[in-house]
Amino acid sequence: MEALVVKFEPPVRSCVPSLLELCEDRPHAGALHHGRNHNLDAETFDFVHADLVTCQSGDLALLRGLLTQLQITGELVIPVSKFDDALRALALLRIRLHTARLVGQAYPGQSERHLFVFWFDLLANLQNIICSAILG
Amino acid sequence: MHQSAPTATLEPVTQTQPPWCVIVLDDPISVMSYVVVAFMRVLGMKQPDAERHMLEVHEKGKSVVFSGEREPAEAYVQALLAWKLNARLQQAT
Repeated sequence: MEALVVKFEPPVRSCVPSLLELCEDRPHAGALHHGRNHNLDAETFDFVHADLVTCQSGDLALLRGLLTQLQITGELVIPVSKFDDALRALALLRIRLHTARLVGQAYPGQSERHLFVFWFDLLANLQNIICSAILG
Repeated sequence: MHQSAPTATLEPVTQTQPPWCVIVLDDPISVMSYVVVAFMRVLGMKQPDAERHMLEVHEKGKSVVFSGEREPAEAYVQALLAWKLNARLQQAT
């Protein structure tokens, strides 16, 4: 296997821009601005802080590339050589998705909440697929 | 009377510092299989060991994944943070 190919239906593609917003190359999610008053418990706060400290632009660039590709072609093509990078990038995106929900920056309504759950689970499934390919 | 200067004998003092530990804490985001792969990649663990530590994090809230000198411990923490895991450096008491 040279690459993992995952195909997505059109409704998924139409939601990609909301994820791309979370991949901007700057300190993200007002977690640090809003601090612990916004439903962030201490451990989650530290965890999000770790995202901000260790966020690497390479991860973000890969994320933007993957999501843009998904938006255009409806497919994610992840080369085997990029598995580790893709795993880290997907983890970063899940952190940001989680943070955005916690601080109410995104997906405040009921239908949007479903969208959050959908993406949060979908990204986890992608990670599981990649890990299965690695672990055998 | 000549009195020779007192000589001090220096005894080598060996201070054994407690080892530094790398602790990984549970988090609400990381997928279990992902944590296993991260432990294998960063810490060079075999899959069964990585799975055991992952389960310890999941069930007990944390796991000590390395114990030793400070310098490698710091490097491991940075590497685990780059994998978006909730890793901490702590000196054993």
